[in-house]
Amino acid sequence: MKNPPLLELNNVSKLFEVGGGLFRKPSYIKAVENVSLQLYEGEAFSLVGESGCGKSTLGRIVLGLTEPTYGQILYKGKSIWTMNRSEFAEFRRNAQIIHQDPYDALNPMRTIYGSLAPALRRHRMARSGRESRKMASELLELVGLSPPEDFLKRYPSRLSGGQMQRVAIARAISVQPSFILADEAVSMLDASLRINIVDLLLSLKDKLNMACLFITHDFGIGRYFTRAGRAGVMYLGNVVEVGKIEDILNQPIHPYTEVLISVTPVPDPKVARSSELPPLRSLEVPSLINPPPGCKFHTRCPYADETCAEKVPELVEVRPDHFVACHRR
Amino acid sequence: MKLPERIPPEALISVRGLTVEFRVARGILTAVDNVDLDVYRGEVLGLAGESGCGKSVLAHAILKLVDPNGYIKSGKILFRGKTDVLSLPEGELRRFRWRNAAIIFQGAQNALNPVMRTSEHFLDTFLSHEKETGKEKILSKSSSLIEKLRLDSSRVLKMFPHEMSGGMKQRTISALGLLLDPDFLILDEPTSSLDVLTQKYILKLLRGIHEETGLTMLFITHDLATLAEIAERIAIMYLGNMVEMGDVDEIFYEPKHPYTQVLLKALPSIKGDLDDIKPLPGPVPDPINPPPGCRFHPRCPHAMPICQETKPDLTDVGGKWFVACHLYGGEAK
Repeated sequence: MKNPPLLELNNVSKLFEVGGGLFRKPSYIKAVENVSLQLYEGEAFSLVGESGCGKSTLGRIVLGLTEPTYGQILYKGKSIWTMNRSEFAEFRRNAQIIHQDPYDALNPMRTIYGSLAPALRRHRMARSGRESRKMASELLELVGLSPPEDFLKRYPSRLSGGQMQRVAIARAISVQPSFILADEAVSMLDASLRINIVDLLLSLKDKLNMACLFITHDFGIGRYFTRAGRAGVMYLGNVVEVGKIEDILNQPIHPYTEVLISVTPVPDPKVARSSELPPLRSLEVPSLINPPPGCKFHTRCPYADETCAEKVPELVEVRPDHFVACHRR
Repeated sequence: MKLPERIPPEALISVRGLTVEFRVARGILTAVDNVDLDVYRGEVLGLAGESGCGKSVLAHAILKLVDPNGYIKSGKILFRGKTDVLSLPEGELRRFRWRNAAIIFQGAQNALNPVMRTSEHFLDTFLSHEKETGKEKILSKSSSLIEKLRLDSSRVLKMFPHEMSGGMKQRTISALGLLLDPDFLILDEPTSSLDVLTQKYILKLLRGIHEETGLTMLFITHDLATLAEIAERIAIMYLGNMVEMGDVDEIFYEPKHPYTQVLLKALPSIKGDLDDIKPLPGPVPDPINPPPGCRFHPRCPHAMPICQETKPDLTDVGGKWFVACHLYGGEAK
């Protein structure tokens, strides 16, 4: 991975204003704080964290849908927020998303063809109606929906959740992106269906050489997606650990990562029954409006001391290619 | 489906020959097809299968709850081997629900009334079933249940639903389900929409309550991994049929039915070899026109000619381990 990254985040933060009024000062939520991350061409990267940790906001920033309050995002070395119009449009074509809820992602009033065609025409993938019909058929075939003629005419209400997610994937890849964001793309699906969809994503990723950022709260599915690749762990807007997923799972360094791993369900009754609750000091996640000072995890961390309450830990390379933000490491 | 006609004495709930159908635009959908099931007193039974396999329909039917476009076509549901729930008069059915058997619905977090405080939910539920009890008594019982689920009852009782997190709401709803001391609690996907951390916590709490009170539970989920932790026995459904029922360790370590085997192989995990994880073969058939014979045969790696013609019955393969598959047809007995 010595090539320059395809996408690069440099100290990115995003603040949202809450409350406030004519005479009242607003408060701010730091949904994402000081995140630096590199994504390489064709790479599969998993981002793991609980709901509310800012992983979806980070996703929106990576796609150029939300402008970060501080920091930079570079696409092929160029900052996307200083690009001219055509460059930005080209970036947006290259960065596509697969949403969590397939039922919400497709317009119920449009046929499947009606959902696929506009993107093909807008980005000039297809020049005529006939061409776009042919491409839409090929796309459905590619995501395993056959016979495509049958599916093109259908409305989303006639599809199962898994089939809808396949249509969403077809639409995302239709404009030949170099990067795909899968935001909890399988968490609404049946447990038994998830790996079918992940397998599809992986095979398309290889075929089309796309980089893929897979956002999930489940280390099990994240590992299945990333294989031997990298993963990051997020907590309250910060990336607290980054490295090869096998290293993270086998030798987690950040206490929060340890907790997340320990609560991931294991399909083995003997292991599951003997598992203990993690030694957290509190179950409730602190508010994002007034996050704890110092290390944001210190109020729940079983190992925290005074330093943790005062100083924000930096993300440092503790072992080769394994970065952690923790004073205790 | 064949479990013994004679109801075993340890059974709290026994389902025999239950068929539930739905009228849909394209015809009649048999969501539960001639299913037998015993829930033993004091156990946690896990009921699993893909969505659309009929697991929720079966569980709801135990309380004689069916959506308006559906109906119970045939079958019996016996409580303690005697009372037939399906033929109870309206008043007694009402008492049976909540008092004897309670259910926590899927997505129950959204079942809380947004303009009611937690305390009002508890009062409302209790008073609609037992009008005589005083408010003080109900509230003190409610707060002890809420504390049991490790929430601060003095705070939670005053809260509106929007002030609570998903995990808090799920725990509040669970406490509400326990309010009338039911003998039997049905939990329909109680943890599926929650984070792994909250999920783990709730599983441990439910397990603790079960161990303390001996409450009989039916735990429904599409995620077998959660059952590894909480269930003592597991029942697997496929397209309206019961395909395997047995001890949790038997099901996980030596699954017999080919469907159970592929279902377990499709679970991602943080442990073990990634190459051992295999997606489910083939598509799910149309439930309105299910395949003849064994409904799993088009996707089954071991299908034989007989599987296309004859539907296999549940057979005891030893120690109350039941499998509906021709591979084990004549083996037992």
